[in-house]
Amino acid sequence: MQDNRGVPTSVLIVDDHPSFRLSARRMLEADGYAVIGEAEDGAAAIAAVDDLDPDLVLLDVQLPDIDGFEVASRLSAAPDPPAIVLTSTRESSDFGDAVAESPVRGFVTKGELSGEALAALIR
Amino acid sequence: MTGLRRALLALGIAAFVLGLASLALILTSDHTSPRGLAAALILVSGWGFAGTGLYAWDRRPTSATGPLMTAIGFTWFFRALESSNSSVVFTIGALGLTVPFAILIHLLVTFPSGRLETRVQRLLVAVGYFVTIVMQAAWVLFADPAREGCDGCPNNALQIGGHEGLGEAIGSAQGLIAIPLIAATVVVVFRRWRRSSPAERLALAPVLATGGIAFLLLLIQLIVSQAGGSDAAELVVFVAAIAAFACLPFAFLLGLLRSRIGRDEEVRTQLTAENEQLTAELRAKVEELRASRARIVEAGYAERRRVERDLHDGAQQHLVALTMSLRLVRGRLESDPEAAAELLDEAMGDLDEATRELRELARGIHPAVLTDRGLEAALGGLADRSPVPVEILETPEGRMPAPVESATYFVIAEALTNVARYAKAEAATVRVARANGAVEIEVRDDGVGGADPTTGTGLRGLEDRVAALEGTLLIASPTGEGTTVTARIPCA
Repeated sequence: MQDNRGVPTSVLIVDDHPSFRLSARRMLEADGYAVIGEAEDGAAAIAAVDDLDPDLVLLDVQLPDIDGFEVASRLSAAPDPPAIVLTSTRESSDFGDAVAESPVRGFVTKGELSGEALAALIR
Repeated sequence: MTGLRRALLALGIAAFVLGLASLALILTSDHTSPRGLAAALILVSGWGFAGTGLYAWDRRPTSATGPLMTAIGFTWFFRALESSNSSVVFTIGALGLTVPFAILIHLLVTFPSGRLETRVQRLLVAVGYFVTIVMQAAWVLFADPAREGCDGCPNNALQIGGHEGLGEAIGSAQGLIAIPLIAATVVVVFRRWRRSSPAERLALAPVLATGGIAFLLLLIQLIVSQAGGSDAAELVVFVAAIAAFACLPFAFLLGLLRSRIGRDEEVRTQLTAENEQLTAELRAKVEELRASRARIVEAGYAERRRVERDLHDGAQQHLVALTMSLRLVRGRLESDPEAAAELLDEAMGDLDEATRELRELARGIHPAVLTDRGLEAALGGLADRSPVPVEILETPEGRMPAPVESATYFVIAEALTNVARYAKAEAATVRVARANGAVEIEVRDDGVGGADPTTGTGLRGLEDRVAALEGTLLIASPTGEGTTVTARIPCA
């Protein structure tokens, strides 16, 4: 995925399962994204965003320390925040209104994750 | 009619006849004055003690109180013999005159049981009988009735003449011993009163009040006598004391009846206490059941959360990875078949892993082998999968009820999981045996011990599970000596 200036969208993947991070990295890179970092919990995610300044954060909802909604809120509170897409093995409806009320671009289940699906959400 | 009752009836008739004879002696006496008062006091006391004593004897045949009271009644009539104009009868009267007081001390210090139980009781009673029988006999041998203040009395048939001074000395000695004896009796009874329960006090109260007054009057009379007070004053106090004694048998009877009431009260109090204890125990049991039920419900939720988490973290992640791998494979089948083949291998690995984790999860919910092939096969599987070598020493033949079999399996599974996680053991043994209408389970390891059953929810949950089947679970884990988990579950 490339933006209109021809620069690939940079992505930070936040998930506590290494197998998912690996699969997601392969898939997104195959679809033209630049995966610039990975984080395995909420605190590491906030630090990584600060360091790497990604265009997009693919953020798992269930993290071992703070949950994805809280991470999204904290990231969005900073100036010029990245686009955030939440992901989970669960359906969006399993979280009630939390997804709709969260300052994120959208939600995609892990089973349906693809470059196209992300692009549709952040367009 | 029983033999005892016949004997008591005969005694009653004898007491009645003795009373009439006493009355005749007093009314025909030429030295007793005033006769009416003397007759009234002797008959009221004699018949009173004999009658109430016989009644008490009949109602409480095992207590010595009845016989003692009856004995006081009979010996009281000696006093009437002193009214006789015959020298011999008069002397017999003088010999037995003081015996009722000794029996009364015996009765007071042992009331209401009638049993001599302490050394002090035995000493008081022995001194009482010594003073009233032995010393009285000695006194009779030397006393001259005329010198004792009874001018019209017949001669003392036993008197050894010329030793009147000795008679007076013995009489004084009797009085001097009687004063502390009576005082000690009052103290003993009072101390027993202070130590008594409310029910016992109910029985003691009438006896203590009447006896106390009677003895106090007797004490005053003795002191007046010893101090050489006027005869009139001595007589007044003595009559008052005898009048109080006349009331004593009824006080004893009332006390005796109250002691039975008191016993009923005690039984009621005891029953109430037992009832309260049972209620408290029942309440504690209900509370324990409520807590255990809450823990079982919570354990159910926790188990469901665990299953959900295990699915999410395990099989689901592998299936997600598998989905993404397959999607990548589809995109590379034609452009990069080699990479596609690698991805397919990975996908198959994810699939294997997902299958394994689902199998583990299913086994954790309920092992199929337990249902299909029984405890021995299921325990064999547990032993095979355990990282610590496990020897199954004994398993029961045949099948047990499903809930018991399941609880047995999970107790052993949890215990072996703990052995693998915490015990640092070289080996573990499992023994399951049926005995005395129960299944007895033992899991023993040779690890570091020091397990605390109060921490961690695993064993606590098992405890509740076993308790739900009316069973018990015990953990012995002395530091450095390994851990032994034992459970006993009723299994008919």
